[in-house]
Amino acid sequence: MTSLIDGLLIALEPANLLYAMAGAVLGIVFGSLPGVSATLGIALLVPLTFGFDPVPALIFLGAVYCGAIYGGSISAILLNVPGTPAAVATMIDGYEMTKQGRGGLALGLATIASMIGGQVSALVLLFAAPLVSAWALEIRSAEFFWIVLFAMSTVGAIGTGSPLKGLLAAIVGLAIGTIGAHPLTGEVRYTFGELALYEGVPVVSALVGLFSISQVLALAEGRGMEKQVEIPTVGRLWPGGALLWRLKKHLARSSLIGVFVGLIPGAGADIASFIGRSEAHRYAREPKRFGHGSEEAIVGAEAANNGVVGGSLIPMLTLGIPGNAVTAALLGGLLIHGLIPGPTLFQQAPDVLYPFIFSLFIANAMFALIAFGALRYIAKIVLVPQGVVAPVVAALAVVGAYSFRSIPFDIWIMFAMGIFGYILRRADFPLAPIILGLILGPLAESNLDRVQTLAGAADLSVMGFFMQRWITIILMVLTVATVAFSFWRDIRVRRVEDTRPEGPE
Amino acid sequence: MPLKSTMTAVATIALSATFAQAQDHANVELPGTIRVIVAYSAGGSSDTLARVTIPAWEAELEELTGQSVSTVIANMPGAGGEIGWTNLANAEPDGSTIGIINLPAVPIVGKARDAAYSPWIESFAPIGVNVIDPNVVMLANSSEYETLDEAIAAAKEDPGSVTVGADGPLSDDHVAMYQLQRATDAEFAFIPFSGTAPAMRAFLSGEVDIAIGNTFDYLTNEQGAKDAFVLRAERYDFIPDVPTIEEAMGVGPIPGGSTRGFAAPAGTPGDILAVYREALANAYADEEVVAEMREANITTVEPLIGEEFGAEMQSVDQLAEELIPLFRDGGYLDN
Repeated sequence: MTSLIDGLLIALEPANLLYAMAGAVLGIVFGSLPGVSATLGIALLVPLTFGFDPVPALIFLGAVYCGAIYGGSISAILLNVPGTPAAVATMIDGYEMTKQGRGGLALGLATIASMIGGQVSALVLLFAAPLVSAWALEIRSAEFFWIVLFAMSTVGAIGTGSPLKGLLAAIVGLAIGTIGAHPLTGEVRYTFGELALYEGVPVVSALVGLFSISQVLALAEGRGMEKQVEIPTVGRLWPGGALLWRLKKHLARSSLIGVFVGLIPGAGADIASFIGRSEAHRYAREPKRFGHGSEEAIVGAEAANNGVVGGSLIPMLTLGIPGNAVTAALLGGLLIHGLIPGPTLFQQAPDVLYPFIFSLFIANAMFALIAFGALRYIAKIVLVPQGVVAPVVAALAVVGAYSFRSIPFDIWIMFAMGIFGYILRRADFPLAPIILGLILGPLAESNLDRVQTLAGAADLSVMGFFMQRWITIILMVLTVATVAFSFWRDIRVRRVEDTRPEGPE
Repeated sequence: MPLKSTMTAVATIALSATFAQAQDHANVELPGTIRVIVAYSAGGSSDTLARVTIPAWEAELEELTGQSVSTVIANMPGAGGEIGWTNLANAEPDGSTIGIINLPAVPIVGKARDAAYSPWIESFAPIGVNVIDPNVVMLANSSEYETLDEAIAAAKEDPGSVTVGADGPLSDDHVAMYQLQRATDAEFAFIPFSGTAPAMRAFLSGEVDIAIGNTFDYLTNEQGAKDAFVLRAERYDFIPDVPTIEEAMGVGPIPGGSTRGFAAPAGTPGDILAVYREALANAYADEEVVAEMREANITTVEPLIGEEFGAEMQSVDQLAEELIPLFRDGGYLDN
């Protein structure tokens, strides 16, 4: 209890409020810039926090996460360009409303819905994370191994269109994760004598390269200066209490959808917003207006994508298992401050975690305040030409990769990962499973190795050892079922597409 | 001789000695900036040690020489410490770089991988140390054995049937396990974890029989242990209720633990080294500094300065040399 109150008080310290505000502003900026996703924003800003104390660093990065997921809706609504993938579901109706001269209302609704989604998820995080973490203390190596495998299977399967490509990307990530000293024997693998690779490919360099350099290359395809667009006039932002009250059920439902989707490894804000929107459609008063500027659609999508924030932090903080690329980037932020996410983190660092969790409430309020106060200025950011964005991102990426360990080799790793990421992107492979494989691979490997020794000491086979506890068996079944389901669904979707060539909607 | 004049004489001798030293040190030209390499990331125990020690050391340096110096702590984590120690060993030996060397990690990692700083004993010139964190062996409440004595007897009877969880491989805890095996003829199944925290979690959850950690691992997990002993010749005043292995089992003494001391690259000029050693001795003689260290959970012991630390390095080197075959047999070495 005292750690809760202390946490709240620390989060409310003026300096920390400033960090939250700075994070929220930068988050909105990164989020609303087309071509800069929340993941990329955090990947670029993690190295910046290297000199901060852990608490302000996490407060800052958490606020960036909240702000970026929200910010994506701004360019989606105003320009019909999603600032982040999570804003695609908002874009359809948001841009319609802008064309109807009701863009301000769309922005206002997106802001309020995002804030509510964020607050609900922060509340769930506050109460659920310590419980999950207390349960997680009892998790043994065998269960941990299967939790990691389950996470990998959902990452590969749910996250993307093609389960095969998702799983392949995850396997590539796992392969990259084997570089460096074996987590348990210390045997050095695939480093070619390079000392900088002894502890594996550094997560921060890989992350920055994979997400930013590949994005810079993708932006460069656009040849820099696209034609200048005008920000349409938007009118009043505040949607009014009566309208919000009418939308309350959508707000609540989508917020919770977001939290649950966030909990599932592999699914992120993009998927949550589509589910939120389609569930809002199902229960809508005026379902026919969906696609033609429906307020219900916007609220349904936006509450869900910010609901993901708190949900996705639960497995990351308590198990050390990031479910999506953004939390993987955040995990990098924890690691550089010596905080190792996992079951023991809540015991070891409650003085860091509680201020961080409370700061999420503040960050959510902050981005809403900033939005209502200064949106007309912030909205101009969406006009920054990509020819300017790309070199800035590239420069930040180089600085970021180097600053972590001050080893020039890390910059080369970053460029290599960037070019590799660009090729994968062109071939329609998802990037998130690669970074997750890189982080989770050593976890899976070390836990499996421990199981082998433990099984040996108990005179059991590895499989026999797995069969000892029910929870391990359940996790094994879930993992196999997830993979099977994703392939089954993929085959069915393809069959439907074959018989109906124009595709759904 | 009247008492008064004796005192005056003593005072004069003492004064002139101090004066002579100050004279000596005033002639030493110190670098303007001294970089202190820590081979682990910020916030860890080595980093904390540097951040408490170095400001006091810097003040003593200025006191001794009358020159103003500034210090920068450089965290160079990676490759189990090898990156930082290699940088320390290869730094210009002009006094502008010193660092923390962690024992037994420096020799164990060095011998395990034939690191660039090998042979380490010729790469580092000792400055001084006052941190030796002893290893504590703990038996889990959930273990089927009642005492450590019993568990060790079982590990002797049926080799590989008793599990030991610890940070590892190649950690000081892992070294301690081999020391324990060697002293008792037992053979354990070693379950390594990446860090002490997960190892202690496994210990509390009942996944392993025995955990090996250090002072604070015992203090924070005492409730999960039904038996414990410390690998030290005498009881340690941080944990006075924990018996030594000699008291508990009648074997040993086994001196085990994690040592964090300061060293300079070999070849650093003798006069600079002498000032650095004296400044560290003065800093560690300051009760306030030691109190601050203990406050920060730094497991201080009586300081060993200069060649005394050198002798400690020699004995750890000897131990590492003896244990390397055990690591090799365990499959923990490349070569």
